[in-house]
Amino acid sequence: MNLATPTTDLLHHYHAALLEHHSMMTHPLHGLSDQLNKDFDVSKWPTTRHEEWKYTSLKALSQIEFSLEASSDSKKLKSYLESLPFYHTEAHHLVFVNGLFHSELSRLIPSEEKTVSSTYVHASLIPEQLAKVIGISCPAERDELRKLNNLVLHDGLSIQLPKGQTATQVYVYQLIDSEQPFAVHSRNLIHLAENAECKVVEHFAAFGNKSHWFNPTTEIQIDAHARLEYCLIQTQSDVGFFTGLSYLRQSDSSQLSHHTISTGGRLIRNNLDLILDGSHIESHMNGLYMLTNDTLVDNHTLVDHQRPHSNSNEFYKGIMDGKSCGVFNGKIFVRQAAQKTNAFQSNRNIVLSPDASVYTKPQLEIFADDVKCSHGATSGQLDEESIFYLRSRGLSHAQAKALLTKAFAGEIVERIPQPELRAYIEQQIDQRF
Amino acid sequence: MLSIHNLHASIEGKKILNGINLEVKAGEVHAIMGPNGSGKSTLASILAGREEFEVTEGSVDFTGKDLLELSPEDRAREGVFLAFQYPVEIPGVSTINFLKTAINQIREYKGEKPLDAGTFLKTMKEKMKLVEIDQSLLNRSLNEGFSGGEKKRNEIFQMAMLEPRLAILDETDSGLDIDALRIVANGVNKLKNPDNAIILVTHYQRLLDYIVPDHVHVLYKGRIVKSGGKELALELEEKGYDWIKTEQAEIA
Ligand SMILES: Nc1ncnc2c1ncn2[C@@H]1O[C@H](COP(=O)(O)OP(=O)(O)OP(=O)(O)O)[C@@H](O)[C@H]1O
Ligand SMILES: [Mg+2]
Repeated sequence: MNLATPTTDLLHHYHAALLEHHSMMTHPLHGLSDQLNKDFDVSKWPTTRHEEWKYTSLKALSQIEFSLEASSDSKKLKSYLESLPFYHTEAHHLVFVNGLFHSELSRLIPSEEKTVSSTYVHASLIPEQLAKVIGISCPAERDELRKLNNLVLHDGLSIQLPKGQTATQVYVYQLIDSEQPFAVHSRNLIHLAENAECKVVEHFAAFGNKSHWFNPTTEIQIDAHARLEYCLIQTQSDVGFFTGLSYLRQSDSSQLSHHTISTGGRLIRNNLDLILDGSHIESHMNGLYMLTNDTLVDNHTLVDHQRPHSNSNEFYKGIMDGKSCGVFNGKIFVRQAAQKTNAFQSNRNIVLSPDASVYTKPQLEIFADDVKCSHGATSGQLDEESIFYLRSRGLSHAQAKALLTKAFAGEIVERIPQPELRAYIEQQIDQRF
Repeated sequence: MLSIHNLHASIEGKKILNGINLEVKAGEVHAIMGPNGSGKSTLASILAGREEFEVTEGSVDFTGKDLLELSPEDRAREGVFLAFQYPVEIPGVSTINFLKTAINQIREYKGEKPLDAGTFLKTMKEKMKLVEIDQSLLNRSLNEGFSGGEKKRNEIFQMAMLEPRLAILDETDSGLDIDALRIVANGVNKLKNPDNAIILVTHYQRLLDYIVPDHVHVLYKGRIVKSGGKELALELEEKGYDWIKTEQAEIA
């Protein structure tokens, strides 16, 4: 392709290799994915000249030579999983390694096979169900990253819950373990029919010192009166990249609690789109990012109130140390029909080091007149008065700071329903501060 | 125990303390009174180690150590305790949360073993009874949504837990109802012993009916302008500060 500039040469090669690879085999989602846009155009690769990518440069990512092959060490993965407190719980545990389902490390509940499984399994078991969800995020595909995902469609979580059913708690582990730089473009497809309910935790982690990249797309349809609890945990190292889109559509009286916890990585970009296509919807979005070194975390969220009488509540908190950078962009649309909307947004940041930075931007576009919307963003240091108070009781300066930082994070952590997960996140915080 | 000599202090170039001299011995109770803005809380803060104030002259000796050289935490570990006039609210941190760390830091400083969970709990229960404070309050975010009285009671509870050698109570009586005042005063009296000392900053004689001071001082414009026995407090209650202000004006 003549448009390719030297900085995107490697991406161009990567894409060409993917195309060749996929032309030689029949994809497990063949037939379901036909309408997805796979026309990746390297010349449209996001740069900081694009408003949506102003603070988040993908340059470093585009200069990695990703391999299509990966070999993993099951023993190492097993011992890692066993170190996670929630891996031992009675639940569905779906482990994906380098984009493929790992049956040995996974534990599924056979009686729920038709409701909770991997996307590839469901594609052959209940393709007509998947057809209803796959591609619902098309309107939100704003960039070339999604097209790569559409092309590759690595395996991911599928939940297809019929009316009134409740699934057992689901844990998903997306792992990369490779001796070469490797990328996973996983696809999760979730549909909760009327009055169905489930809780999902999706954990991302990678091993080794080679660059890795998670580029997942998650599509979720929540029908009337259904309830979903979704927690995303990103614990990558300083060679880890993450660019994901979670697209959720909610109908009347449905409930959502979504949490995004990021503890590390080199660059994390989360796009969370919430389409509130109904009345009396209750949506909560919480986020916590705790960053050190050169980590950049960019949360772009969008809440689209399309109909009257729904509530959305967004609460993101960041703790920035080292030279890290936190970006928050929160869009709220309230359409003309969406009278009596309550939309709340808050982004609070603590900057522990003079070299860390925060860019936060609320973006409210309100076309209805009878609505309650509020937003607030703060960024600052820990409260000196509180530090002095604790020191005057005998705590060291470091202890006082750690305690206050944990308390700041605690406000998000306490909203997570699973005790094992809270314990894990608290443990991550303890190691950090 | 505490010996303050010619202490001068300022903040942002503004002089607040203008040569304080004060001698406090073990077993004594001192009351410091004085009009609003005279520097009482400033003195208390400087003793606790608040860094915003600049000490421009003078010295403070605490049990043979140069107090002004110590960090706030080391002062606490040496046994200085300040019950704040306006205790801060700390969201997400409960009293129990930090008190265990505080006690163990103090113990470690003294070369003692950390308190085990059982003993901590037992001590806590005892001291809770002493100041009649509810466990639920100690589990809540510090001072967040506490009533004025609850804040003060919590300060005294912490004092009871930390067993300081020198306790400085900055207007702990303000905002307490009659019953709470009695409870807090009784608590303080039970904590009093020949080895520790208490400095009470107060505006009212009321508290001194319960905790009887050995010495009463009047702080005015950053200086102790009058000292006496407990009868001085009664005199102030009756006459106010005008006569002292006049006296000072005449001297100057
Ligand atoms: N951080 C500060 N910046 C500027 N001025 C200050 C600061 N802290 C105290 N002051 C000033 O120092 C003076 C003494 O204040 P301080 O709080 O010590 O008085 P106080 O005797 O405790 O009064 P009160 O009886 O009202 O509690 C006041 O004029 C006050 O405004
Ligand atoms: Mg005062």
